[in-house]
Amino acid sequence: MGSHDTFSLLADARGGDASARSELLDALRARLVLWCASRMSPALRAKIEPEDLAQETLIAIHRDLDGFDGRERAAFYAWVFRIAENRIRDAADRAGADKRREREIPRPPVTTPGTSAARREAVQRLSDAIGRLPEDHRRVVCMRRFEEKSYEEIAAALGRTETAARVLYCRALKSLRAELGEES
Amino acid sequence: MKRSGGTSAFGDRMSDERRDLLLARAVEAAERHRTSGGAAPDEHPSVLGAPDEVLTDLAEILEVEAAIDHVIEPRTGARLPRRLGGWTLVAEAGRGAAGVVYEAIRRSDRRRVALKVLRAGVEHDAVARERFRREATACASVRHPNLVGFVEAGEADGLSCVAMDFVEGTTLRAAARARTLPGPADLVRRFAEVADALDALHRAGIVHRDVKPSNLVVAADGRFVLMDLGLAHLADADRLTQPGDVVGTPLYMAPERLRGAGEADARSDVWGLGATIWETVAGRPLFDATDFASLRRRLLTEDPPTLDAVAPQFPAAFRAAVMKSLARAPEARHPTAAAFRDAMLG
Repeated sequence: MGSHDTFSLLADARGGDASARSELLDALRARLVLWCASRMSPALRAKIEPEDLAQETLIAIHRDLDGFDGRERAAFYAWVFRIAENRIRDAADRAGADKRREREIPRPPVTTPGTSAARREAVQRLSDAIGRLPEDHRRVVCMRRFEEKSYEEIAAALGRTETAARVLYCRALKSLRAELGEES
Repeated sequence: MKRSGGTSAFGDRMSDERRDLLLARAVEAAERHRTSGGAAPDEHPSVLGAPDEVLTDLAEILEVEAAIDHVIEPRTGARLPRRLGGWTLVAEAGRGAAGVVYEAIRRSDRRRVALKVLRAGVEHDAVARERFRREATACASVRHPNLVGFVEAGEADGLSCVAMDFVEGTTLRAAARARTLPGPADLVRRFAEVADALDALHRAGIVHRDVKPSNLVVAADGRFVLMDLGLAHLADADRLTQPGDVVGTPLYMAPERLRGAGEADARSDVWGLGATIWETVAGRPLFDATDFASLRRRLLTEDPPTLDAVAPQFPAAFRAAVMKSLARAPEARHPTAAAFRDAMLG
């Protein structure tokens, strides 16, 4: 139900409610981890964990949240993933520029209520399964579910018709289910 | 597209492309249902007449989507059980245009109910609240063996709620699919009972507004129980801002309501019941369509197919009664649900 999801926390979070802000960031975490895992190249994954990249993104979101003045859900997620794109680009640059130095990712304490072992496992399972999908399936799942893009936007990004984008999404989910079903 | 005589409304020679399109539409309908309460996936025209493979694929896809949702939307996924005012919400039981229905326990006396929580964000001004209270009181006054028992209505944590008896059973639609419905003679009697219940509601001044197969539950003793009494309009369900998508399927909505030509009344409920019965005995929806726009067009311009060919095992009087309830002009229908009941029983 729309009135209780992650996005509904935004108003309170921006209004100064610290616990809503903390809950918002925590609620975004899994989405960002999955997105990072889907988007990172194997070379980049050798240098940095998706969880760490997601954490960097959350820090930036936390820092810039008061500056975000959109009201729509679509605008919010577009903003979130612009930040994530920047983080991934920076990380790729860092990884390219300095191959030898071990980069320490700052981990300021962010309370994570409700991040149970079961949830972490669920994220891991999904992340692994998505990682095994073919490129176009991975991309459409990423854009539709995590970035919450419209089919129109997805079609434009993939160079297909809107109908083809919808059909691709269905096929992607079917293959994802097959991947999830492969594990015990 | 030529129809075969088989169970699929589209015949067996559907192309892969057609199947893919149906599936894509159904998946999208499910998403709208989840986020803004549009028609439930199994009431979307793209699904109603679809071949089994599409339904299997749809189920698999919805499963994966739920798995993803559970991970990326921790609030809605992991939020139960939770408290709402004096209620403990135990499980989600369904969704509609008006809001979400939960299985809930009243903490004061442990009474188990179906609690409908009306969608937040609706204009809950004083006028709307008063109307809600008035209608809730009226509902409370009607008791009938084929009407879901009304428990209480009010506000909990700022959200309007309606509590009804929790009825264990399957929906009429599910029972029809599983072929567990009784034979013609009993079915006629059961439907007449529902018409009687509808009449009791009308005599108390309440219009149901949402009579459809998923609002009829087959209880353990075989009774058909009508759920979800006439409170749907309080959450915009009647505002047809888009062709059917946002407010639920038009398949059980009387033509005059689809056209926006009038308020719901007893005769539009009669139509809804007629459409429900037609679909149940014919084994398929009133009209084939892949999208709401064409469904709506057909409902407004075409006469429903006669039951004589598709359900000859039912008595002639019953068949005629059902067809009369589906007259496009309200004044040509049975004037009351009681008249419909009597006509069904011949």
